[in-house]
Amino acid sequence: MAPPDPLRSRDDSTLASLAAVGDRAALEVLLDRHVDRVHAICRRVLGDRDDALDASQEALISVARSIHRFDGRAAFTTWLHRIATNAAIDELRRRQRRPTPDPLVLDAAAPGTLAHLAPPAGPEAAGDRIDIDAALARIPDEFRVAVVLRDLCDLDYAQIAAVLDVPAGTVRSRIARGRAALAAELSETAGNRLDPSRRPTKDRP
Amino acid sequence: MTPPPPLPPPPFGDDTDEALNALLDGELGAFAQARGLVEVDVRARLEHWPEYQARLAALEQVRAAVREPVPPLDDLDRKRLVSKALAAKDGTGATSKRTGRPWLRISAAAAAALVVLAGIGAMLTSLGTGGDSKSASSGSAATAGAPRGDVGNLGDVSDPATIRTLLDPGSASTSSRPSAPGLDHLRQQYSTGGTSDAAIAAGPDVPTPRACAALVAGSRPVRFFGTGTYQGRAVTIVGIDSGGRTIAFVVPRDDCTSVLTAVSR
Repeated sequence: MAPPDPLRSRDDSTLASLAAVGDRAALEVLLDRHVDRVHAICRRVLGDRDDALDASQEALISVARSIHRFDGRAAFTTWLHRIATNAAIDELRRRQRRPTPDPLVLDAAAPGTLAHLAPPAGPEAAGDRIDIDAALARIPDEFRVAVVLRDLCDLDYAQIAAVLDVPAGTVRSRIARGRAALAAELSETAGNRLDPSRRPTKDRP
Repeated sequence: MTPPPPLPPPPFGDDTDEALNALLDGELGAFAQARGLVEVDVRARLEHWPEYQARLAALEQVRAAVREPVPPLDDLDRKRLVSKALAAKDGTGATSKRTGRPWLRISAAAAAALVVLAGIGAMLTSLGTGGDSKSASSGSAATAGAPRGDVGNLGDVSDPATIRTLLDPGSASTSSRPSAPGLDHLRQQYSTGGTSDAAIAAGPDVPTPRACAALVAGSRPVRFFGTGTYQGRAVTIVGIDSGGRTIAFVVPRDDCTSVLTAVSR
């Protein structure tokens, strides 16, 4: 068994300080420690595996390149959440600029081409998973981001305000409106699940 | 037959959902304060609203759905994300491209050899001349001014605020203390166990603070070094300039390769 790496017992602040002065191993431990968190934010905000991986990559590169600018005045995770959130929002904007595939063209494509459009296999295909990702995708970006930072990352309103650089009152409002919209979406989805004729076409097997 | 009485309106109008979410998130105090109310009153008004239970339950369901774990990264994606980020960092040339063991994790003996024979020259030069080209080019006010060198015994530094006073460019001058050493002086300190530091060197295997600073800094400029205690443990404090600011590392007196904490401003 390999001996425990002493760097892994260091807190984020220490690792960030070490990384800031060029300690590559400290940076690697820091990135490795938080890659799942970054990915989770991107995945929930974007709702798509590939987009989430792209955004996660951008976020981690941004952390690596700008770690020397982390000044330690805020918690490392606050700084990290800001970077991850911005990367996800940037990816959203890129996605909105992308041309949407023409369904008629897709229908005419070869079966192999269509394979990647099929619902994912395994746990991701579970109804509840698709419901929440789809519901999140249908609410405004700013509401979605606030709700994800609160519910997935467990940040309090002040921390979210720091990440998004908005007043805490705005955070409270966005979370309230976001959850209200989600409640309506999930209620609608639950109704659709009970009545197959109302289910969106893309959810059909 | 008389019609049933109308349901009372939501207690906070359109903001009732905000209040319920704040309650759910443990943030009701701020909501109440923003409206010049007391938290217990807000809570009581919510609880007396007939729709209270149902609406709170709906919001709790939403929260639980968002909290569902996302599909985990597989190991390959995980490693690829981290290695690409590290490669991108290396590609900028903004950091060390060394691939050997990190400078803070190498053994004291190996570090000593590296420090004296290879890496420390630049630091020694900077201590003698007041800064290397990298820190000079950054031009930061945060690290402006002459190196403070040996700041002596700082006492208990368990509170980061104590260390931060050293990082403040406007803090009290330490000019009465010895200035940073020149190349020959530091080399002598390192190789012989020190002169002025000898009194606080704890034993033959314990490096002097000056030597410890050299070990921790590698090729980076040392702003100051000193001794103290951190959570009851004898420590050396080393301030290193990097990226236009100074970072103070707290390392055990008997193990300069192990960082207990770091403070920056």
